[in-house]
Amino acid sequence: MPRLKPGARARSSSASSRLKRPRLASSSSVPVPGDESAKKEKSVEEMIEDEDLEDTDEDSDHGLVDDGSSDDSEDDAPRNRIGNVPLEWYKDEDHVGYDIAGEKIMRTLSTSEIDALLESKDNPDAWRTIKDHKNQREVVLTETDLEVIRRIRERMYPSLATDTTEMVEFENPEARIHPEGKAHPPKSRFLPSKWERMKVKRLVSLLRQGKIRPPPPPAPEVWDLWADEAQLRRKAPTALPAPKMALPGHAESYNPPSEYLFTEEEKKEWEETFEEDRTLNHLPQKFESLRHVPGYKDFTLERFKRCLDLYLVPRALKQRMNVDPESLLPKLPNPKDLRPFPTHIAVSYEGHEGMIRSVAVEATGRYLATASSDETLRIWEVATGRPVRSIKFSSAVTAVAWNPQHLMLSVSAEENVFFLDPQLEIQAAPDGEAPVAVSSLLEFKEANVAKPEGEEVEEPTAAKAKAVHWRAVQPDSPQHAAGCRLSIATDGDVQLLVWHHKGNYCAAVSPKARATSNQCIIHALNQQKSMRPFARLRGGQQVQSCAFHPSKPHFLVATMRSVRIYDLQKQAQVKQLISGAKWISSVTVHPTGDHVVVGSYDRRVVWWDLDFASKPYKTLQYHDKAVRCATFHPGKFPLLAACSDDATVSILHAKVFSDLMQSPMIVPVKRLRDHMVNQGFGVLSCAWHPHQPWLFTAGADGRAYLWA
Amino acid sequence: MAAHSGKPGGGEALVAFFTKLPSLQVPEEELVIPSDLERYGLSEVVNRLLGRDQPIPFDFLVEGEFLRSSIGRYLEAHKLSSEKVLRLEFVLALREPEQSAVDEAPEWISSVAALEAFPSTWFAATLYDGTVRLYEGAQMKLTTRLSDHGLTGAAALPTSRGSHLVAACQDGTLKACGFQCGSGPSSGAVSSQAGAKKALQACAIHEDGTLLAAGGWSMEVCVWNVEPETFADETAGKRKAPHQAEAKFTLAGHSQVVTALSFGKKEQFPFSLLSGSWARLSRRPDRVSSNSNDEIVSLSG
Repeated sequence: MPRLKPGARARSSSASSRLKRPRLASSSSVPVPGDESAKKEKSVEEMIEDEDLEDTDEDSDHGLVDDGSSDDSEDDAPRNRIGNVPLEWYKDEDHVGYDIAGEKIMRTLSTSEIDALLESKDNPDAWRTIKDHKNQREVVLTETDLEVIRRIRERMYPSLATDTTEMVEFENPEARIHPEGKAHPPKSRFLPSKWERMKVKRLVSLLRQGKIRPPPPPAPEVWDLWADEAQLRRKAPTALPAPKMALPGHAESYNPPSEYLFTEEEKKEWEETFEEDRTLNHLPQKFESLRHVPGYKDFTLERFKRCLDLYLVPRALKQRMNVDPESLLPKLPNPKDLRPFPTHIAVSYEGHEGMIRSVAVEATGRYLATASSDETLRIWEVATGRPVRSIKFSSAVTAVAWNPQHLMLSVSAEENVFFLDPQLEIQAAPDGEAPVAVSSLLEFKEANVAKPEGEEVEEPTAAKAKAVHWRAVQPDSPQHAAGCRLSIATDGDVQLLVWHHKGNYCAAVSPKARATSNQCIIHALNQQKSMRPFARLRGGQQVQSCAFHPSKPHFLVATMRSVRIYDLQKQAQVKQLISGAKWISSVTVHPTGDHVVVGSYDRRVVWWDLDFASKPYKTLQYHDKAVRCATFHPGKFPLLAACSDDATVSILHAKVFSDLMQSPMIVPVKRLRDHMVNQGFGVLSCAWHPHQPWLFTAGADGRAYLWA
Repeated sequence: MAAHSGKPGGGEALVAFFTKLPSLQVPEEELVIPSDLERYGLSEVVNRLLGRDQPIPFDFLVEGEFLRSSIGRYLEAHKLSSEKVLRLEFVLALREPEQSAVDEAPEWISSVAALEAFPSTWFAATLYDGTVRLYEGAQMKLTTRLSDHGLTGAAALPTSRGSHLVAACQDGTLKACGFQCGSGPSSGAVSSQAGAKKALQACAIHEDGTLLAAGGWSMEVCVWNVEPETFADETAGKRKAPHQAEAKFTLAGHSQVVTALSFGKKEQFPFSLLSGSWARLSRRPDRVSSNSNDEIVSLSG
């Protein structure tokens, strides 16, 4: 290989410059840096040399094709065949070695410095001439050689033609997709390292023993000066010593005084109590002397229990909440602030001999009607208690209701419903329309009788339903004299009569009617017809009560377990309110129309807010026995009364707020206790005065009271 | 002088007794007595002062009002000092009323009116069957039928010869009648004032005898003028038809039944009519209604 020596010049043979060199794609001559002045002069000569080079290069491609001569080309073989013999062995000789033919290679090259200097000045190629002392020749580097040298110096591939893209990517780990060997990789490469586990296990055990501590956290560079002080430590639970054993007393003595011995009763009592509850663990016994005393058989057991107490039983102080239980009760307002509500009897209506089943007050609040089991209906003046009318029927009068618009009543005596005009209005002047209207209302209309098929056949399912007939009361009957004009014969005892606020429709409820459609009938007074809109009640339960909605055309039907709200105009069910009560007795609607309260025979009063779902808002239980009737005050007072079979009436202040955010506030304010229980019945019915905070109650003891 | 030792916890007070009863005078001296004494105890003290064998029950007045609590509580209530002398006037105590005679009327009695100025021996009772019964003391002297329908309220004005009586009737008219009380009581002609639409509940006569007022279930108060025919004597042949008069004016404004009416004393309320209902009490001076108080006149048994 030509030695890299700048400044030396020798015309190299083309063979030497072709030593193991890949074919150059283009030989661009780049001069060695530092000799740029020589670059321009050499251009022509370079081209000639290049041509020479290329010609010779075309002849053979040494280094590229393996024809067995790559190791040893005859041109590139060293001329001096001495091998590894050092040249200094020939320093005194006139030859430096022997060529292949065996001839001596004489020293021809001059080694003097002066010659070298002269050469460098005279010979323009001196800088690229190399003196080969071993082979005694001068090699001149070609442009190609120089280019190679330059590239090598710059750490580039010597030949431009080299494909710099590596065939084997040594440095791209992602390209190492082929296994390096044929052998399978060992299993341990895929498993967690066994040796690491052993090391970690050792470290962990040392950590656990405490011989190694985890490294402390680094000291913070900055810290908060005003951070909290160290958290107050909670005190450990106080070590509670075992309770002290009682010292032996006289009862434990072997010869106790006689009063310490148990009598037979005390002995029996002692045997019957539990071991933990006994004051003495043993029966006191009396012995004559110490030597008669037997061994105590429970000794070991007692010691064992004491030992358990000492070391095994966990003891802790019972943490008692020092919360005043009164503070947990909700703060209800004082009843004194919620006045007015009825508190005492103001007027008592005396005259009935049997249980008073129902009480109804007229719309102006002047008259009161009471229906009783002694077959009479009595009308009283509210303010004075004076009986105004007493009308005898042929069976127990079960329900009564005043028409809201006209001064007339609907009364039910078991299976018959009567409409009666008690002729209470005394009007001399003809401008009073009421009496004229009432009597005309109650005139029997013959037209309806002519078509008997009119109403009843329309219900196909009422196959066994008894038809409902309107009749005029016979003029010679005592009821007619009292004022009854119309009567309706229904099926089943009518327990409740309710009027619609416009005064035309009266709903009658008879739970014991055999046919379901007859259990709730709506009678229209003007048309003198009866409608049975509930031919088939889902659930198949008895109708217990009903109510008209105060403002909307809705009708509420209470069966034994639930209340259904129907829209009478659309003839569809609007809602069903489900309660937890098993047997509903009465239903009432708040005057605003948004709340429904139900009283039930299982002592509950259930309140629904109709804006909510069908679950109750509140269930109140203030009575010990069945709640017979619950009513809202129909006027402006926020009062709710519930009367029950324990002969008391509970008055609740039930304030309903008009903004939707507040739920109704229900506060019990008074319990009225003057009625008496008769044959298991208490107060059977109650009704509020239309515009005063007064309550009328009807009791099974035959008394009706006005509470004010 | 008679200084009772005070009970533990009780204070003492200085009192002086005096009376207008001529026969039972006590020296007006200041006495120190325990302050928890009430009427009975004070009566005992006075009887002891009088030195009587049979004690007389006395009642005591302070500043013209009956003492109804103990002295100590009175002093506390009026914030008086117990060092200052309290002047107590004693009078004979009224006993419980005794029933001397019972007169059973056939119907309920709605109201009673005194026919003379207090103390009056003549009373009139109106019944629910439309009659009026006159009583002198305990005896019934006269029954007059004023109407076929019930009478609910009555008011009377004593006159020179007897009294003028008005009664509110349930048919909406106000019946007026003059009565002569005396050895042979008699009643005059019955006149009726119409104008109310519904049953009347209360009525009143002005002190002067010039105005009649009645109110009832129509929630209005009707006022009539008194004319000579209103309280006329009984005419011999009853030639004229019973007098009918129309209301002078009607006052509205009550929301519930009018149950009480009064013209008020002339000195205090010259031109006003007080009316009470189940909802409000309002005072109307001289036809200009102004609702001064909102007071619930509640029904008491």
